Amino acid sequence: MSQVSFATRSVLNMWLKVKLNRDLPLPTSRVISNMPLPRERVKIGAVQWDAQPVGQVQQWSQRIQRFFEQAADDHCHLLVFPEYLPLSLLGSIMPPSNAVQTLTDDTIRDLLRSLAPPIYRHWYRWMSAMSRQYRLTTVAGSALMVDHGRLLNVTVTFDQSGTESMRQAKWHPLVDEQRWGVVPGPIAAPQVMLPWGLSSAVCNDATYYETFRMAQAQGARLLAVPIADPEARYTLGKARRGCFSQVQDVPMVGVVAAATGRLFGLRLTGKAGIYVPSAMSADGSGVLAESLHPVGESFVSAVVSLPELDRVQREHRAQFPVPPGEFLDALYQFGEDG
Amino acid sequence: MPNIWIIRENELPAPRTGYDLVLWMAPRLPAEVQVRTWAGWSETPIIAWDASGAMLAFNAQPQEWKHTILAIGSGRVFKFQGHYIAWLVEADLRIPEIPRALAVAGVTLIISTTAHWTPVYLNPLWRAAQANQIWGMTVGEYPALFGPCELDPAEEGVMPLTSEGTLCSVSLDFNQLSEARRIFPVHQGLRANLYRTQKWWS
Repeated sequence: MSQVSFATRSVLNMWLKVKLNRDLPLPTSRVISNMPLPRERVKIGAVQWDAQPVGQVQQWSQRIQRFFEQAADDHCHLLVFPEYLPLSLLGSIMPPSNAVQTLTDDTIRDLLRSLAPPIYRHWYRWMSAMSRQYRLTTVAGSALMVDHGRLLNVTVTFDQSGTESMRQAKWHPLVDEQRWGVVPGPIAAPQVMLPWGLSSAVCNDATYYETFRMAQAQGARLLAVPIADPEARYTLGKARRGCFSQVQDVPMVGVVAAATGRLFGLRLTGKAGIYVPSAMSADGSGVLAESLHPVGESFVSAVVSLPELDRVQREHRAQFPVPPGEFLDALYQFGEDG
Repeated sequence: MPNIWIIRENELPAPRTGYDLVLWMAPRLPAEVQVRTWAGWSETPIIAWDASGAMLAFNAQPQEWKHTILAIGSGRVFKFQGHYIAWLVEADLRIPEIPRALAVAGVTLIISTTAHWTPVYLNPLWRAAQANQIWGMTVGEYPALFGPCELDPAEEGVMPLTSEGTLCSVSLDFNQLSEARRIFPVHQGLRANLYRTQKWWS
């Protein structure tokens, strides 16, 4: 049974739509000339975002635009934003309270299902418009959407013209997300965008090397991972067991964009970073770029060489091959989805 | 909570009491009779091996566990006090499917002779311990114990060993792993359906 009345949900939904429609008009001009995409050396930017709810929709839009400006000034080709990027917009109709601690799971589920559609639409339109204006391939972070009645956490990628190129629903939602109604993404092949072999996965998907194997099997070389880690305390140990670890064993370039700060009672920490197999970094650390602090806003960028990655991949495959089919058939017979 | 003694010397030292399992990374595989005799004297099970992976194990326990998973890699699995422990070479740890298969089959401790990686997050045994929420013990010149970050107050996934001179030991609580898996249920989130459908293997 619903914990929030239909009337309340409708009023909140309408109020949010009114707020969102008052935002800045979508840009139509192109401020940067059309540049061909490089095929070998790609400059990547990753955003670290303060997820604090915003009182005004324009604050959110303008902050997003500043990151696009920064990436364009830095001559980036690809820009990655964090998980749950537009959830801060709920601050325009709700106080930045400790809702996560004070509301029941059922109430949170009802609110998310009701408010996700207008937030998703606004996020989608704004990120598409910004991608087009700044001529940047953009992994737009992630947002909640209702698809055939299912609440999914979806990341969308736009090309330089602002056209959607691929999307990926989170395959491995956290326990809290599942309590709030988010269901695992459907069984489908990971999408890969040419010419770089760009793919994407959402936050906890990077806990599983299987995500990277599946993407690599489809031709992916770069994996963008928007995150929003609900960890009040940042430690390198916990941070390194995600994307950083997986690209050591499944050689790819991993790009992490992180949401940080307080979001309705959740405390988020994380760093934006660009990670590679240790053999690809000059100091052997496997870290090409990483923000300095795990809270607050930041922007990092680095150039990656795809021919160098191809070489590392070939050597890795020869030395550490994927086990034979019968071994893996047996491994993944252990049961259905957890 | 078994008390494990990691021998760091090149030769077997004098037997000591109070240990439940002895691990010895020998410079070269010792004579079988030597290890058997030592195990008898100390009344403690011992697993000894050399850098090539040749291995000897003696006493009533640990019993070697014959399992089809061992069809790949150089690993060997033993049952010890109701727990499965595996020995792997570092190269096998670089293939994440191998520790995953062992963990899914019930192995809770992987022992290896990994190099001294700096920083520790580059050590494939550390990664295997995190990915599968198991214990990982590296023996040899730089003994170390890795475990899920959830079980480490510093959240780095590196646990302390007791060290006195060349004597190195640890009391390992296998039951703690269930606490880590409750806090962050990694295995529960595995999507076997998805992986079987999108298989990356031929």
